[in-house]
Amino acid sequence: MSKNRILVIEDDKDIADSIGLNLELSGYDHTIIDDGLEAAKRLSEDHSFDLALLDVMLPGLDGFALMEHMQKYNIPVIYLTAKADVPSRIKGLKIGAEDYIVKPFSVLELLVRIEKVLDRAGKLNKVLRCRDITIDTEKRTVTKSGEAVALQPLEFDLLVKLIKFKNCTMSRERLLSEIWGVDFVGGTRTVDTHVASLRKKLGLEGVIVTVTRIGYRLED
Amino acid sequence: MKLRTKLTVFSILLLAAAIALCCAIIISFAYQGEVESITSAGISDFEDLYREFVWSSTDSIPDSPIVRRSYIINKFRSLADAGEFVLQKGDEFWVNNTGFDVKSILPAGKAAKLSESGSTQYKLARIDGADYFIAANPASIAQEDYYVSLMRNVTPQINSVRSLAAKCALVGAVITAIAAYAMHLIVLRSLLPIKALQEGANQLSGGKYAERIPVHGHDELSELAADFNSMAEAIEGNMQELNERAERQQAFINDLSHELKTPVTSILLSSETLLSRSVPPDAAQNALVRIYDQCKWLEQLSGKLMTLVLLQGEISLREESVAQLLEAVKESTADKLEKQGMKLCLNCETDTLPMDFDLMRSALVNLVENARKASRDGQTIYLCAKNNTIEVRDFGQGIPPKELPRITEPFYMVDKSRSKKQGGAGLGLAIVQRIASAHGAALTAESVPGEFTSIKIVFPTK
Repeated sequence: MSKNRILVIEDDKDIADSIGLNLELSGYDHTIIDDGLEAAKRLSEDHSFDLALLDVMLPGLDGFALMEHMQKYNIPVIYLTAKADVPSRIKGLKIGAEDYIVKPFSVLELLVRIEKVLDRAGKLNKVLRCRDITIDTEKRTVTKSGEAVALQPLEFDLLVKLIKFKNCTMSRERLLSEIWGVDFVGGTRTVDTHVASLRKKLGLEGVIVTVTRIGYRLED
Repeated sequence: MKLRTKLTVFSILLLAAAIALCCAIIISFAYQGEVESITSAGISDFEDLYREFVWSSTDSIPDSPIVRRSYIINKFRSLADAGEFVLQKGDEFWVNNTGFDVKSILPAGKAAKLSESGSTQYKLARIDGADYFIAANPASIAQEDYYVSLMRNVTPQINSVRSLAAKCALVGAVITAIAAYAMHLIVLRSLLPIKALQEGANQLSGGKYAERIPVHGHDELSELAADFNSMAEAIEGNMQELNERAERQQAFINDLSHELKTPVTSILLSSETLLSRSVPPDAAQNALVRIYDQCKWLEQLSGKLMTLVLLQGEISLREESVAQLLEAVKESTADKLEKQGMKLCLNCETDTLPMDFDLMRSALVNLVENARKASRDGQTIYLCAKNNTIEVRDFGQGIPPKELPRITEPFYMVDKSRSKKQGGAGLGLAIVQRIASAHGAALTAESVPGEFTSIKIVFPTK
């Protein structure tokens, strides 16, 4: 299965480039367009996008006006805009956006929201790949170079989380609360033992790197 | 005490006093006139009798005392009207129908306040509720002393004066009462505008600045009401201006916070990426460059904002040479223009204008910069001064008509992405506008897209 394709329509080049870099690092394909009219034109030629990140104030055609083009091709939309007023948010969500994020925003939050929207739209890749490891999130199976590897349920969840946020540093606290749940009473040492066993079972020494005093990062 | 009570009471008191004084004077004239006529009639009657009596009694006076007595009494009675005249010899009354002892009423001597006419003494006296005119004169007939007197009842005449006084008092009282009522109404009516003023002031202090007092007539209170209205108008105007200013400031702050979001978002995105992700070296370098660029842009923005804020105050104007000003602008912009092969063409027909030289130069440099950004390489920009107008004209891309009215709004950019690439914050024309209005000058813009743009600073005519 190929990578998810994300359309970024944003007229500020710096912001568009930063978003693009992050999408790339997270394993998404992306296309950047800086003009509303141009975007409408390009969509009629190529519309196989899984998601669109739309600015509202755009030259040519504004983000609200672009919504109908998106809906024509069934592309879910997240608005990324400096317009923070409540009427604009309501309008954005009412005309069909999946989410409305006000600038300035955190890139990690954006990635989570992208994932959620893709998931809801059923466009999230069920099969994750990282190096020679293939993970089927539906069947919950892991293969390394074609050979099945048996993982504990929590080890599996941890691996999926690290791969979804590959190249992002994940703190122990965050991993703990997102995988073990906020009620878990054990210490962060639990995370360390599970990471150690993942490294051992899948030969990921040097791929899951320890970030001193913070947590872990899976490097692709 | 309220003003209307004061005015009413004092004017009534004054009116009553005036009427009373008037009546008193009229009555006193009437009384004097009456007394004079009583006196002159009395004296002339008395003296006629006295002369007749003395003259006719002297020629054939009988010798015998008894005969003489009856002769004189007869003579006196034939001459005098019965009842009013009295004849005495010594203390003995020979003829007396009055019933009074005149001699005791009219005492002789200097102590008595008597009036005299010849040797006749007379006076007006009030005895037992009746008024009398009394006149007397001693007479000597045949070496014997007699005393002739007149006692005339003048009560009706005096009473007529009294009844006049009573009528006067009554009429005066009635007139005073009517006048008092009329005065009360007049005062109430003329003080009505004060009530209206009071209500107007209450409305004003209650924040209803649009309310006005109806103005009738041309008296002082109407003038006061008109003045009050113009004061209310001034207050309304000032309040409106304050509100508008607050709105403008709010809009400016909204624009500013919106304008800050883009660079802040960009800086946050890049720095967060660098902090929390493993980024390939060249991508990391790009992210750092983005952060640096945005910080620089923010720094420029803060400088321009400072200029805008500092321009709020008053500036001092001096007559400066316009030719020098244009030269200074040319000097400041030459480098950038040269790089793009552009030329700035000067044409100065104005001698001097009142200005702050540095501010006006920076305004014109701003306009020339805008013209440069709108022009194509190799084009010429014109900077001309004529009469009270300085104009910057370029033949670049122009401004669409519907954008024209908004170009001086802070943060407004016609072509946002293009302006940003050239480091614009959308504050240039807002600053120029401020500088122009600080000079009392107007900023006017005229443009045809694809043909030309002309921005003029029109100074006030002297």
